[in-house]
Amino acid sequence: MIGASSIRKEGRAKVLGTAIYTDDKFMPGALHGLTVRSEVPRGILRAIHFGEGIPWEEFTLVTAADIPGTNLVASVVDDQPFLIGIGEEITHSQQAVLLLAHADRHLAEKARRAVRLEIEELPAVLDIQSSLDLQPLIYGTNNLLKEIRIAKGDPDPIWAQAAHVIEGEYRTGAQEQMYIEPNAMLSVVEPKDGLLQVTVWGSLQCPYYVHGALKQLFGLPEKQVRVVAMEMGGAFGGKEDYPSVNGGHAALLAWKSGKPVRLIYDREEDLACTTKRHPSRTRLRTAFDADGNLLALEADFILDGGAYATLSPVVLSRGAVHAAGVYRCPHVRIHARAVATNTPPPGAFRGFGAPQSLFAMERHMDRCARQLSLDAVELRKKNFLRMGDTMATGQVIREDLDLAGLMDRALAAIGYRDKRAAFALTNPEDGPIKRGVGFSVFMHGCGFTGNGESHVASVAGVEGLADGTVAVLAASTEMGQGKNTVFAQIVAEALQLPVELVDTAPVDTDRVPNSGPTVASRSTMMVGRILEDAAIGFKQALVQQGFLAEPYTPASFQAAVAKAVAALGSLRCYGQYHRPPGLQWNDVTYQGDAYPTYSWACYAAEVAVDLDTFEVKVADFVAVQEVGRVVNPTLAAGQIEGGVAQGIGWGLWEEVAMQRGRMINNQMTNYIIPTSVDLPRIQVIFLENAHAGGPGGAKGIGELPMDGPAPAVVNALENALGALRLDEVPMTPDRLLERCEEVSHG
Amino acid sequence: MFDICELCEPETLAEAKAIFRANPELKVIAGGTDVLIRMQHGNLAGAGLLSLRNIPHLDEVQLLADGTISVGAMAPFTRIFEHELIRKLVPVLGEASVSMGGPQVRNVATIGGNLCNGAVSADSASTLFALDALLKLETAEGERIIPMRDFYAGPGKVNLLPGELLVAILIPREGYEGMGGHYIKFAPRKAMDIATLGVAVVCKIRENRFVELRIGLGVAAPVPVRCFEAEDYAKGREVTWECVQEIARLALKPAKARSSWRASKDYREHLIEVLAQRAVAEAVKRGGGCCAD
Repeated sequence: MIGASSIRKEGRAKVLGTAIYTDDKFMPGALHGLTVRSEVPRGILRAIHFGEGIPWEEFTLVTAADIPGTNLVASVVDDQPFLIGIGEEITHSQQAVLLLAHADRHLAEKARRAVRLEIEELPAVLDIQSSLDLQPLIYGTNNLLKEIRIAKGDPDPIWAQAAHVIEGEYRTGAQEQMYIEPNAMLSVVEPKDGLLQVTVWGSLQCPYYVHGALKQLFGLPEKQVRVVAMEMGGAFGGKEDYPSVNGGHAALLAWKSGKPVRLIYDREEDLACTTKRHPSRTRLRTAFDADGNLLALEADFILDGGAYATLSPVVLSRGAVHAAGVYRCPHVRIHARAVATNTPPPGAFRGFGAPQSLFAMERHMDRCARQLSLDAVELRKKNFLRMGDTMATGQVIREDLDLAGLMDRALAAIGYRDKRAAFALTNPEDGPIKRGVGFSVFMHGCGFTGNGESHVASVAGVEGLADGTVAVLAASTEMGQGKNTVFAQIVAEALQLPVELVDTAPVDTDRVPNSGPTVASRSTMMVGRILEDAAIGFKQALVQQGFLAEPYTPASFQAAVAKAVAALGSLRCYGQYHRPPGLQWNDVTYQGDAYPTYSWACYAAEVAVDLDTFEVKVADFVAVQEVGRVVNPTLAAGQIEGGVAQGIGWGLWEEVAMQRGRMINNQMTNYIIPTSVDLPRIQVIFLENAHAGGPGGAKGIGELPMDGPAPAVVNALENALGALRLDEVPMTPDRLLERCEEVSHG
Repeated sequence: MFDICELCEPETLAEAKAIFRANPELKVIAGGTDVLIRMQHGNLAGAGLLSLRNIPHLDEVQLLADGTISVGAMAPFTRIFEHELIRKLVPVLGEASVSMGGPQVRNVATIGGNLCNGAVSADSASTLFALDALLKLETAEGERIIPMRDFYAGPGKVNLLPGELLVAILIPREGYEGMGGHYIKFAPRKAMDIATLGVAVVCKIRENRFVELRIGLGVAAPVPVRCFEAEDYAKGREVTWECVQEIARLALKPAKARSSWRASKDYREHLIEVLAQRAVAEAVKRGGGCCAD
C-alpha cells in the first residue's frame, strides 16, 4: 500500500474517454454563457452599448446592477468585484463587465462582439517600477497589495566589516499553468423546497473556496450552495482562486435565466484572462568573510500582483520565507512587497512565490562563488543549514538534514566534476556548441505558511458503503497529481486492506467535509494524516460496536462494514487537523515555524548552447530530493518529471508577451511550452527520511520540482558561456544574444 | 461546434470547379488545419465550405513523362515525406514536410492548403521557392501554370482568381535533378511549432564549383523570398568556406526582418546569416561538394 505504485484510480476512465469533465456533463436546455471584458487596462466605465442586428430580447444579460448579494469575490482580501458597474473603475484589460447567455453559442459569440463599451481611459501602471514610483497611484495609499518584513539579527553593521559584499538583481517572468482543460463551469440555480439552491459543477481545485464565494455573491447560507468538482484536466494552481470568479459568473447567468448555463472558456480567453505566476524582481545583497562564510543577507523581493490582491499576500509570504534559501546566516533582512499594476491579477501557480525568490538566491550563490573565486559546490557546503541551525524566521531545523550529501548525490549522478573538467577543455575550441553543467539546492515548505493549517482546521473522513467497501470523504480534488490513489493507499494501509477496497467519494460539498483547498503540497501530508486518524477511528468504531473482530481478513472486514451499514444506515468517521505540539508562528512578526517541515532537493542540469543560433538544449537532468517517505513511487516520479519540465519551460521558453496590459501570445502556438522532444532524460532520485508529520512519514512533493530547474539551467549556462548578465528568465535565444553582445561590446 | 452554413463535398474536380464558379464566396477547405482554427477564432463565421476531400487522385504524387514531379494539392504532408519519389528525387521537400506540426497535423494538413493559406511561415513554401516549382491552377474555364513566386501577394494573401483552385504543384526536372538540398526550420521548440525562420537551399556542384544555387527564405519578409543576389554570386565559384560566408551575407539582401515580441530584428538577421551558412554548407555536402576551409 504505502510505498507501492498502485494504479491510478481514475486512470482507466481517462484513457477510455469515459471520465466526465465539466463540458461533458449532460444538461438538457443549457445556455452558453460568455463574458464581455473591458479591453483597456484602466478607465471609468461610462456606458454599455448593445449593437444592432442581435435579438437582444432572447438573451440573458447580467451586469453589476443585477448582483443579489455582495459584488466582491471572497478571497484573502475582498477587493475584486465580479463585475464592474457603470461609473466604476476598470482596473485591468480583462475585467468582466457584462455576462450574456443564449442557447445558440454562435449567436452568443456574435452578440459578444456586438457589445461596445464606452470607457473613459485613465493612465495605467503596467510594470513594477511604475507601481513603486506611484506613477500613478492606483491602489490604496501606496500601490502595495501586501508588505512583509522578516528580520533576524542586524545586517547593518556587517556590510562595512565584511571581507566581501556582493549584490545582484534577478527577474522572473509571468508563466501560464497551461492545464490541458481550460477553465469550465456549469451552474443551475433553482428553488428547492421554497429556498433558492445554487449549484456549480466545475473544473476547480478548491470546492470550499467556490462555495464561500457563492455564499457571499448571493447572500445565502451554507446549505443553499453546492459545489461539485468534476474530473479535471490539470490545474497547477490555475484553478485555485480563479474558479471563484468564473463559478460566480456561471451562477449569476443561471440565476437570472432560470436555466442551466455553461461557461466554458476557449484557450485564447483562458490564457488572456485567468491567473498566471507573478512576475518578480529580487535584489540581493550578501556579506561574506574571507573564508566564504555567509555573514549577512538582505533581500528586496517584489512581486507584480496585478489589479487586485487575490492570493498575492500569501504568494508573497511563501516567496519571502524561501528568499534566504537553504543557507545558515546570522543576520537576515527580507523586505517583500506585492505591488499593484493594471494587469489581470496573477494567482496561484505550483511553487507559489518560492520559485521566484529561489531563482534569485541560487543564481546569486553562483555569482558569489565566482566573485569569491570559490567553487560553487564548496561555497554552498560551507553555508548549508544543518540540524540545530535557525532559518530567517527563527525556525530551528529539528530534522537530521544532510544537504551536502544530497548535493553530492546529484552531482555524482550527472557526472558534475568530470563534465566541468571536460567542458573546460572543449569549450575554448572552435565551433558554435558550448557545454556547461550547473545545479541548484533548495527547499519547499510543506503545507500552508504559518498558521494557515490552524485557520482552515481541515476535516476529512472515511465512510463505509453498502457493499462493504470504504470511501474517502475529502474535498481535496484530483487534478492529475494522484490524490485519489494516494488517499486510497493511505486509508488501505491504516485499515490493512487491499487498495481496491478503498475509493474516493465524489467531491461534492453536500457530501464531503472541508479538508481545505487542494494546494500548497499539503494533500498527502496534511489531509493524508487526518485520513489516517479517521481510518483508525473507523476501524475502532467497527470493533467497539461488535461488527468486527481482530485479527481480520479483507473479506471479514468487508463483511463487517456491509453489516454495519445495513444495521446503522450509515457509518462515517471523521478526523480533524491538530497543530503538532511545539510549532509556533507569529503572523505579525513573521517569526517562528513557517512550515511544519520542508522537502529538500538538489537539481543538476547539463546544457549545450549553440552560439550561432543562441538556442539552449538541456542535455541531461538529475533531480535528487528528500521528501520523507514516498507513498507511490510512480506517481511521485511523474510529479517530479512534470515539475522539472514546467521549470525548464519557465527558464528557457515560456514568455507571456504583454501589450498595453494584455497578453498578446494567448495561444498554444505562440506561448511556447516544451514538448517531449525538447526535454532531456530526467533522472529522478528519492532519498527517504521518515518524518513524523505525514502519513507513514510522507512530506509534500507537488511544488518542489518547480523551484529548482530554472536556476540549475541558468547556472549551467553560465558555466558554458562564462560571466554574462544571466539574471533573468526566460533566457530566450533573443535575450541570450543580447547578453553575449553586451560582453563583446564591453 | 463550428459556425458553418453549408458544406459542399463534390466527387469530381469538374463538379468542384462548377460549384466554385457558381459560388465564388465559398471557402475552400482541404485538411482543415488552418480553416477550422480561423473558424474557431470566430473568423469566417457562417461561411459555406467547399471540401476537396472526396475528389479522387488530387492527393497523388507522380513522375510525369517529361521528368516533372507533380504533387497533388490534396497530398497530406505525411504522404509526401513518406513517398518513394520524394525520398529519391527531392528529399529536401520531404525534410520540409516532416518539420511541419506534429504527426496528427501532418496526417491531415495538405501541401495545397499550406500554400493557399498564404502564411509566410509555411514550411513547404520556401522549399518550393528554392525548387523553382510551378503551380497548376484551374477554374471551370481553364487552367494556368504560374511560378511559385508569382503566387504570394502579401501576408496571408495569394493570387487566386475567383472560382480558381490549386490542383497540383509541379517541380520541373531542372528544378531538382542532380541537386543537393537542405531545409532548416528554426523554431523555439522542436515539434508543434511555427517557424521563426525557414531556409531552403538546393545546389548543383561540379568539380567543387557551384553550377547552380537557389535559396528560399520563409519568415524573412512579408512573403517567402528567393535570394537572387546570393545565387548569382555563387554561380561558377569554387566552393570554399569564405564563399559560403559571402553567400550567407548576400542572402540577407531580400530579407525585410522586423522586430516583434517573438524576436528582434537583430536576432532575425543574425539567424538568416548563420542558418543560410549552415544550410548552404549541408546542401553542398549533399550535392557532392566540400567546403572545408
